[in-house]
Amino acid sequence: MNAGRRFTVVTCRPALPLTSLTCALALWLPAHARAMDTEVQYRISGLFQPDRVDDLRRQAGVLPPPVDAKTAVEVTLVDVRYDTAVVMFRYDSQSPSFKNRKPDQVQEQINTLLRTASRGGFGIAALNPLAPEQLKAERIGIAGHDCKGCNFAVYREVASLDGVDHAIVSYKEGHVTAWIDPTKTHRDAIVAALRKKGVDVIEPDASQTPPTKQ
Amino acid sequence: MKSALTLLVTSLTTLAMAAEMPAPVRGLVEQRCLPCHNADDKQGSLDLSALGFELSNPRTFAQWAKVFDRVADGEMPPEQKDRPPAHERDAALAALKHALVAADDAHLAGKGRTALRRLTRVEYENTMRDLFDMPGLALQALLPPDGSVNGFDKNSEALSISHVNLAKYIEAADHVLDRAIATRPRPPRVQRTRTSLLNRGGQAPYLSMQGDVVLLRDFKPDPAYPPASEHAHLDQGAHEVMECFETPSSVGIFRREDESVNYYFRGHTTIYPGRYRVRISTWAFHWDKGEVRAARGTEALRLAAVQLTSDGRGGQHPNATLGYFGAPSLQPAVHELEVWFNENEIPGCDVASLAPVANYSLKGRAMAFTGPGIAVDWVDVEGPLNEIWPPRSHRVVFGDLPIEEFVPQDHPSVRTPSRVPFEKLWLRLGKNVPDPVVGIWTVRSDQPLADADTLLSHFLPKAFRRPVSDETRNRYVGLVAERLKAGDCFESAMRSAVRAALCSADFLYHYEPPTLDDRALANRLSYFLWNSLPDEELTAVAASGTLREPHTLHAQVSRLLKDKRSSRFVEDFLGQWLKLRGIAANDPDKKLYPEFSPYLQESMVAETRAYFRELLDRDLDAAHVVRSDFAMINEKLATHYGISGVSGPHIRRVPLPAECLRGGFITQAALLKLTANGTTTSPVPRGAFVMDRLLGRPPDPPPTSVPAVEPDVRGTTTIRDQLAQHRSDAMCAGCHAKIDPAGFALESFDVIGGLRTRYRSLENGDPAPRGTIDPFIGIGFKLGPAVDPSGVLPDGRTFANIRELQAQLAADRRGLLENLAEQWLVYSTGRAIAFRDRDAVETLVTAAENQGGGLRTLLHAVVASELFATR
Repeated sequence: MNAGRRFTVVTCRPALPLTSLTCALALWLPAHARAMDTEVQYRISGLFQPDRVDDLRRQAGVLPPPVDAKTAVEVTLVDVRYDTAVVMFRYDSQSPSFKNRKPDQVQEQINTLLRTASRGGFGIAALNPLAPEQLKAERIGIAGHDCKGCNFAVYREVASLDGVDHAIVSYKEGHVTAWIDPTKTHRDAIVAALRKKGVDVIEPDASQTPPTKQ
Repeated sequence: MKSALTLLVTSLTTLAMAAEMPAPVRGLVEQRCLPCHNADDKQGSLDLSALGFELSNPRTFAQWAKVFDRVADGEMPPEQKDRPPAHERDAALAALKHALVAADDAHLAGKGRTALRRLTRVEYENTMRDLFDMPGLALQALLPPDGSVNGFDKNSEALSISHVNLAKYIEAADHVLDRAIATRPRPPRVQRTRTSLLNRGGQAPYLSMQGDVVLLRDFKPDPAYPPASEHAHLDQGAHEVMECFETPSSVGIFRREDESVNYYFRGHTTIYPGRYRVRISTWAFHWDKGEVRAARGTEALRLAAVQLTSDGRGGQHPNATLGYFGAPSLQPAVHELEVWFNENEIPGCDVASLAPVANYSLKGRAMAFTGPGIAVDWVDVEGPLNEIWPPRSHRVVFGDLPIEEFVPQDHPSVRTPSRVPFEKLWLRLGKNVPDPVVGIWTVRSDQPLADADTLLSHFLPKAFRRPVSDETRNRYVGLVAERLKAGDCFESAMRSAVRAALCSADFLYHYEPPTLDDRALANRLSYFLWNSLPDEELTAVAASGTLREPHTLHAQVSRLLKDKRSSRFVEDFLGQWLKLRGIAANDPDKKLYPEFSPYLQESMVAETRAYFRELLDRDLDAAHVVRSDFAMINEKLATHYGISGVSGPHIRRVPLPAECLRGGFITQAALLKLTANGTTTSPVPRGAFVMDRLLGRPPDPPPTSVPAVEPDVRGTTTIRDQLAQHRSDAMCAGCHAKIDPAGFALESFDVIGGLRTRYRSLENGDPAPRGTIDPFIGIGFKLGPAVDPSGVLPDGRTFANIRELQAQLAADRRGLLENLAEQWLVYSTGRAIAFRDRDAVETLVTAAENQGGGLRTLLHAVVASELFATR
């Protein structure tokens, strides 16, 4: 498995600098990696709290082979950026599953594999054309259980809104923070969605400043 | 109105026409009976002038038998009338008895008492189970229900057969053979699966989100999954994706199973029916708003085998209790048992001893709740367990013939045996997996007809429960030959013959010659005490011709009673004699009887069975039918009965305190529940039950023109008041004088068998004290009018309460013995006690009395009697 990789970096916007994780994975790659391996970056959903990075590594490490594939895993997770919710995958563009596929077909293929492996916990989408500094952070106070499942339920509700780039949730700290495209959505829409879901929303405290990811 | 003279002349004329009527009978009837039971007055709806004496007519016969009983009992002529001198009465009775016996003899001449009868559903299932050594095979539901005559389904008149039965027998035989015949060279791999209530497909995850269940770790709430509080957990699907329920945490349960809640262990779904070893770890705790503390004592957990059905999704699936197990305080107890699981059966459990709470509707949910809980750590299921391979079920048909791979190309002229592939159904969520074999494997025979002959020579006598002639065997061997010729393989051909045998009259019917030979006697004995075919030892004894020797017969009866299969007799006999099968026929009103629970109901049944077993084991006398100084109870019943010092769910013998009004079948909660309607009690059905079932004096059925007494739960009138009005009608008074007394005494017990001094009411009355009701059960009923359990027996004796009545009933030990003897005879021989059998019954009862009058002694006497040994 994982035989025959080569690097052809394809991105939808300028590539992010390699993280230490990428380096580690690169070292792990077989020495006979071939030049047909391709790297792609995507926006990832499901990364709502820090330990989800480990979840992603674990679940992406056991990606099932595509349904029509006769070989083992052909996709590798290379990099994860928690603060911007961006990931990099590497795949063999000459492998049966990806040969002659267009970028959106590749994305769909990887998304299917990832969703299957994570039972819907993670998914990918094209990178947001907006630069991170163009996104607006909205922090909303919530009350409830310090429970990963509940956090995910809240996250899923918020992240599915049109205009939300990514979000983090922490019942422990009592907030959900969404990075949104202000031209597409706004705070009230998020609050309404949360309330509809049954989340106990705490009215905004004007004194609080938008957080940064841990 | 006709003059008395005219009446007499008319009556005499009518009676004169009954030429066969013996003179002493006619004399008595004309002088003592006709003045009331004539065409005009018809007292008691009886017109003796029109009855005639055609005793070959069953209705006429029954009426005269009744006349005999009433006069013999001294009930007729009534006390207030002129009674005949003893010699006149005795002569008339002797003559009437002689005529009735003669008529009975004529009626039954050449026919035998018991008509040809087929196996009941219970007998059929047990016979198949024992024949094929598949002890948990579920077959009853495949067959149409049996009827009931004289209180038992074993009566030949109740066992009709139709094309529906026959079609079902074919289906059932196939069902058995599909599971009996081995189709693989080695057994399915033994798998050990640890399963939790949190496994996918169960309801516990959902219940945990709402606070009816909590997750516990190290005897504390699981920090990764806090108990539901004012905030419920959001979105079960999100939690499943986050693997919140894939945890080794214990599951703490507060809410009992009900119509919409169940606790299933979905980690194991039986693929291969067979024996499995089940281990469960459970403990009890007290929950105090998020704190786990020591429990109030040992709680009871019900373990069940749940049959998943494709249409039962989300609701209750049929399930059978495997047992009740103790859950000690903060100390996990591991219980192990070996069970039989059928396909698609899974383990399930219930927190049986807890009050019916529901935290989901409570503000603050689990974090606002204080009360008892039961924790379940895990369940291990290991199996299927096969001691030998091929299994015994296979060897019964195919002996030791080898199982080899069948390669169709090597047998071009032979049809490949059919195999049902494993089907992955949505309900099979278990972690245990199929263990398929490659290829088609089947029995190999190098000399098929010779092997078929040998195999059938062993199988048929076992299945038919008697020696089988060469002619019969050859017929089945011929079937095998036919199928082989038609292209079947040996397995299929043999299967056809065996299926035919299992659908034949030889298998489905009891074969009984007029005077039972030893084999037939062994069968009758075995179907009496095991509800199944004789085992090898009993068959061997019968074959040796020594079964009828008194000490041999006695030893075999003792052996059969000692064997665990005798529990089938206890269950089936009590199910019908005391109508325990109907225990769940009504659900007590939840407002009036909030303390009722399925656990209480199953404990009730367990008590009656254990008590009956105790009477047999210890050979206790017949007075114990109505009175005893001990009870067979567990903690649940002890609490219900107000008896302290009993802990845990197992039934054990407990001495009754001096002041306790319990004792005997008559005061057992099971009988008191099944003679009530779930809302109110009435002395009439209870009194009739006591007369019919316990005393053996069934009252006449109620006239259709009289409306039933409507229950009053408002607390304004008592049933005694209502019945008093009813009994003021002379037409009703006669029967009710006999029926009601026992029922009045039993008014001391409510519809679930709880002791009471006042009736419960939903409207009028005083606030009710909690008494022995679980403090976590809400009480909404009130206490209405006082209960008056006193009464007067038909002979004028009075009683103040149930205890005094018990003493009066217990005094007639012989009557109680006679009733039991008759019940056992009806049950074991499949026929009613004929008039002419009465002397024989009296003889055997006398024999039992002379040996102490114990119930076990009586049972031995019944089996040793001529009635038992003749058809």
